[in-house]
This record gives sequence, C-alpha cells and structure tokens, in this order.
Amino acid sequence: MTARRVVVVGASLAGATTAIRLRQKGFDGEITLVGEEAHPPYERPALSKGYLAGTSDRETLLIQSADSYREQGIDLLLGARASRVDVTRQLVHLEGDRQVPYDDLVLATGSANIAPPIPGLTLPGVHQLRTIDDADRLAAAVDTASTAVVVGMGFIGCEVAATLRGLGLAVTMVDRLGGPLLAQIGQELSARVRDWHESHGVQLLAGADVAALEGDQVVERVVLVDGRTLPADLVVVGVGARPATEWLADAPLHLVRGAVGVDELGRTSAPGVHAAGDVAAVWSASAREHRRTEHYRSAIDQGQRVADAMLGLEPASTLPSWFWSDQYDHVLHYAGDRDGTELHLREDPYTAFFLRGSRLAAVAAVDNGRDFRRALRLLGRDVDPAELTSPGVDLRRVEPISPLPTAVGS
Amino acid sequence: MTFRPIAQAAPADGELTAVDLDGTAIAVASVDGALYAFDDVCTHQQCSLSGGDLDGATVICPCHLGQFDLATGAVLSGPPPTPVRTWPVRVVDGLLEVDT
Repeated sequence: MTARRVVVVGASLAGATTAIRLRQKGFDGEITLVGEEAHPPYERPALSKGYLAGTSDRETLLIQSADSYREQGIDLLLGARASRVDVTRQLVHLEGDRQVPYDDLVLATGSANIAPPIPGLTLPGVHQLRTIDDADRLAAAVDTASTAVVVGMGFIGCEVAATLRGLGLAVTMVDRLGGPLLAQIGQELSARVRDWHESHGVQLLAGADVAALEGDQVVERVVLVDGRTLPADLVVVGVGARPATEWLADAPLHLVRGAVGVDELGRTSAPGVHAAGDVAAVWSASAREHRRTEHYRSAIDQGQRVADAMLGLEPASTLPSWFWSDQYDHVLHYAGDRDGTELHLREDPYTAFFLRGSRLAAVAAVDNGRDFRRALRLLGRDVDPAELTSPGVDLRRVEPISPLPTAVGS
Repeated sequence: MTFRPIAQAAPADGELTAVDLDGTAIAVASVDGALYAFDDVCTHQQCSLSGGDLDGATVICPCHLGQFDLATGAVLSGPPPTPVRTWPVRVVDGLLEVDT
C-alpha cells in the first residue's frame, strides 16, 4: 500500500499550519507544501509594521525555520505556481508543465490585493503590500521619499501610514469612505484611531475619492475627484483583497462570492479537497451563511481544523474570530459582529462592549489585551452591561446572566 | 543553584508581576500556591507578558494572545516562534528569589 499523499497549495499561514499540524497529530504519509513565492512560509502581519520599519528581520517572520520542514518530512515546493487542479484525476498542475498527484488536497492560496481601476496605478513609486518582496520594495523607496500618500484606511492603510510616519515621512491618508477601519470597528473606535494618526501629524482625508495617480515616469502626485492634488514621492494603495481563486476557475468547486465554500471542517464540494484561510468561505451554522475572514488567527484555526478533520480527529474548540492591529504604540483588539448593537464603554482601561439586547455580540479593547481576552469568554452570552463597565471590574469574575425577556433596541 | 534576592514580594494568587534582574525583565506568576518565573518578553513581538493574563498553568501575551506553559516556557498556542526561558523562583522571608 502506498503512503497517503497530502498536497497543500499555498505556503501561507493556513497552508503551513495545516502541514505542521498533520505531522504533530501523527500523520505519516507524504506532505507537499506548494508555494508561489520563493520564501519559506512566513507571517504577514509584520510586513506593514516592524519589518517595514526595519526593526524586525526576515528570520523573525518565518512560521518555522526552513530546516524544520525537512526535519518533519514536509516537502517544500517553493517558487511553484499552481495553474489548475484536476479533481477527477487528483492532480495539481503547476506552471512549467509539472503535475503533483494527491489523495487529499488543501487549498490555501490566500488573498490577492484588489487593484482599483485608477489611472496611473502601474507607475513606479506606486506600491501595494502583500509579500516580503512588496515590503522590501516599499522599504527601499522610503529611503528617498519625504512625502507619502496612502490610499485606503483599512488595516494595511492604517498600519503602513503609522509606520511611514514613524520613519519620518509626511503622510496623508485618503479613503472614499468615512474613516480609519470604519467598516471593521465602527464609529466610536474609528474616531480613536483617527486621533492616533492626527496626533502624530498624519493628515486624514475621508470621503476623498482618487481620480488619478500622476507623474512624469514616476508617481509625483495624487489627484482627487474634487480636484485637490496631493504631492507624493510614493503612494501605497491598500483597498482590500479578494480570495486568490482565479487558478480554480475550471475546477468543479462551489464558490461563494469568489471564495471556496467549505463546511465547518473545511471540506469543499469535491471529495478529498479542503480549503483553509483567506481563500475559504466557511459555513457558519449559527449565521446560516458562508463567512470568509482574512484574519491571522482564523488562518491558524482553519488550518488546524482541516488537518484534524483529515485525520478523523475531533475539531479543537477555538476562540471566536478576532483580530488585532498595531499602530504607533497602540494595540487594538476586536472580536464579534456589532450589527444592530448598543455600545457600552469602559474608558480606563479602554474596553468596548457591543450588546444586542443583553447578548454580548462584539468586544474591542485598546492597549488592554488582558481584558479583551477575558471578555472573549463572555461573547455570545447574556451579560449585565453595568457590571462589565464598572470601574475596576475583574472580568474573570463576571458571570453570564439570564437573558432579558425582550431584547432592547432590536 | 544561586538564588538571588529580589526586593519584591510575590504576586497574589492568580496575578502576574514583572521584576528586574540586572536589566533582564522577568515575569513572576502565582497560580494555586505555586510560583513561576519566565522571561517577561514575548518571543513573538517583544510584548511584556506580565501585562498579559493567566489561564490555569499558562500565560497569555496581551498583544497577540500567544500562550506559553508556565512551568516549561513551551509555546502552547499562537504566534510565538520559540519558548520563553523559565527560571527557578522561591520566596524567602516574604521576598522573591530567582535562581540565576
């Protein structure tokens, strides 16, 4: 009998986590991890922060050392781009006319940056950020730049703006919508993030749509739809990402808004094919829909879940999906869904509780990871907001209450 | 074994504190009557673990919620790439002593 062959396409956090977890749980078949980039699997969060700033080096980004994969019997096939998958013959086709057979396939190709239809997007000096190579190019450009315009106030925009400001550049952020991380964290928290940027001298132009990036051979200015012109030695465009599934266009897989639809164990509609991380839209029984998340922790949790399911193990319990963002000397944490909620704030240390009726639906904290984690335990439970926000409360001692008979405000 | 006195009391049960040992920040935790000492600096992004939280016999980094085993320093969950160093610790006459 030949060994069971697992092929993971995408040397991403989700992909590497799946491979490593399989070995940790005793899988003794073959594991091949296919990655488009030349680098061993690495973590992306620091690319917009410490790595860009030059305070953390490339080694610190690696999920594990390159040697450790060999020691674990995980074959790294790097610099190899998958071009399509044949689920009938169970083959992954790589560019250069190579094929890799599989018994189980894990799709973990992550996200690709959205390239907005802005004239001048391909001018030298215009950057997007996803890979180590992108970050290296941006870092090199910073050396000769004094003004930067950041298009987009999402995670990448906010964190890159903070880092570039820290490196001494004059920074302007523009976004066609309302404010920093507004869609991710809501008005109240967004206003605080705006304060961080403004107090560091970053100019924020919300509701400002970019008409064109202009320059003679290299980018020199950003022209807004309202006619304003912003000088720029470099421009960083961070306007969101989409699941990297274009290579799966021919595959008979159920796609959900461009992402690979999977069940709660990461199984796709094709036998033996799984998906994890940014590329996947995972069925949520409670929400009755597929949900795609682009967060660090979700990639790890989903990778582990796919590996465990592949081995027939009980899925480990995981925390609710949560994220962080580091900007300047602040750490922001957030978890949950705040649609239709009422905000209850505790100012010191700053903790935001979003309640739907008496149900804690979302929680956020600033520079207060301790209470954030303590509050995660209460997410989805009925709570007394007065108790949560009382000064000096020890959230470990807070117990859920009985649900209120009628939900307030919903 | 060279236990060195630190001019600080042990943390209360369920609490964390940071002590300075010749410029090295060491976190001390007290859990169910047992004391644990380990490097205060998370191996992931250098956040201070004593600003984090305890959950049973684990410490959780306040920045990115990596988890370490208090007794061994091993990574139990999350982003940290390597364990934190642990140090023998005891209380003598109400004050902490760390074995260097």
